[in-house]
Amino acid sequence: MRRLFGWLLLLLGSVTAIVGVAVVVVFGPDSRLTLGPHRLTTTGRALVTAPGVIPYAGPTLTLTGATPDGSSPVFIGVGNDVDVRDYLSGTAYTRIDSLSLPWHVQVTNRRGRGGQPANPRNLSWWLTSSVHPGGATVTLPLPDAPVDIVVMQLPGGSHTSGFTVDVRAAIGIPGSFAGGLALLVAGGGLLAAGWAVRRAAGTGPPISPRATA
Amino acid sequence: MRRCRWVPGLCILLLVTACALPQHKDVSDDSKEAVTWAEASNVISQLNRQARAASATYSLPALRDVERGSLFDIDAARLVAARRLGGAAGAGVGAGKDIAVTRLGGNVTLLAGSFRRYPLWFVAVADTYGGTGRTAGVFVKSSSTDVWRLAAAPRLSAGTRLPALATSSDGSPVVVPPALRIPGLATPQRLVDRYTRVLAHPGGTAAAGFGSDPLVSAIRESLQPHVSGKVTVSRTWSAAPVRYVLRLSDGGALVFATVLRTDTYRPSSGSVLSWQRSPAAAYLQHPVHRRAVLTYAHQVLLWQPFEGDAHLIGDYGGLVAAAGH
Repeated sequence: MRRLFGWLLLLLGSVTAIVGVAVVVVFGPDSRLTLGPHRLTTTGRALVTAPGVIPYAGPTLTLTGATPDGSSPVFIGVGNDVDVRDYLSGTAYTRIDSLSLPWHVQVTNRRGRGGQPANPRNLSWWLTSSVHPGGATVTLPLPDAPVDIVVMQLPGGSHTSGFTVDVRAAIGIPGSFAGGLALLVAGGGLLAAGWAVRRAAGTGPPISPRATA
Repeated sequence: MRRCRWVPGLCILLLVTACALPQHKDVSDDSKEAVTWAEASNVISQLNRQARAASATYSLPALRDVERGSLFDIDAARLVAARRLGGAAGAGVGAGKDIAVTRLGGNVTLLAGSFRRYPLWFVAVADTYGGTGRTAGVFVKSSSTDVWRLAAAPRLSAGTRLPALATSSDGSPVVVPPALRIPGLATPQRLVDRYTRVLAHPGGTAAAGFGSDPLVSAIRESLQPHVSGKVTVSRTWSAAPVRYVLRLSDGGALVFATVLRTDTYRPSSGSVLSWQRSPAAAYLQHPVHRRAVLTYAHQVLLWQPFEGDAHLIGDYGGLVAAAGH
């Protein structure tokens, strides 16, 4: 029985240590999972994530977008789904319906009525937004409400429709590096405990010859 | 095994770090609360600033920035009357230089529901600016690129309190689509349509189901034109589409609506009509010999309890147009 318990501890310790190593390696000392850069293209005026693409609340998302030539201004905004849907109604855009890691996106191209959306810089409902010629960056803790990320070039510029953007995302989970280390240490502890239990079960107490006679 | 005593400590540490793990959220709830308290405060401050500026300069564009719909029609007509008749006192629409364009006072209560699509709207109940009682202001944002504008502002008389509202699981008031039939009751639109029939015929059969109504009394006592000779007066009522309805905790409804009243005057041959010390005089500056049509908008707040008669608990209105020859 003690031998079986020792094996169980060894198994649990191995799994815990492996998970800990994975968390430490993936998130690194800054506790951020970095993705990209990945190139996204739309024939419309904007790239938008559907609410289901971000099904979690809590982590801090940092998103950077830049055009390949690095000179055209890019706007990135994060807004409530109700606001974004209304804002882009009538506008042609590409919606990212799902995103699976390491990087696979499913998109839908939405047709518009040819109109230009209003200048996003004039709107007050963005949870966070940024616009920059070289590449825009936004950072926000993901809220409980469904939110959409919008990447677009500013209306009224020289472009007509369609653009390509290189996107880099970082998901920060506070304490994930420390948690990974803790898992690693806990796994090591369980391995040591399992080893000790097995050894104790293997050697066992000496058997008295008199008792067996 | 004594060496393994630190393992539980590590488990506790793991539990603590697990608190930072991402929380899965319900993305199917695609609604949004219309406004935050901070945003509503800014909207009300902006309204009061613009209304003060509009009053001071008789500026309709300044008023249009913060008002819309029939409320803008009412307040704009008051501004026009004040400008043409030489000040608020002369127009009989306000006191002193402070023309009574709608502003909200303090002691604000915010009623903001959740919406899945635009338009968004919320109600701010505040002390009536420069008067007694309370004003229930309905602010509307028609699209994500629009600004908040005040669309209705019925005044509640002193001592009148709003009935208890139904609330959703997050504590916000429940908004009702006007076309939705409230179980056990008519649709809000039909309620208002019936109310216009009560206004047209206060003693008619439609009056059954409505409580005593100060608006009916006030309209009966409304200023009549100075008539020399005989004149035929006809009055019609109609209801504008209902857009803003809140559910009550008892299953009833609180309905914000606008009813339009059109008074048509036809003087007999040789008779002459004129309006004095009335906003209508701003539009009908010359005596009317043949026909005059005056249109009034009345914003009403109807309380329809689940059981019992509907009541008018707030109103605000005035002349919005006049034409004659």
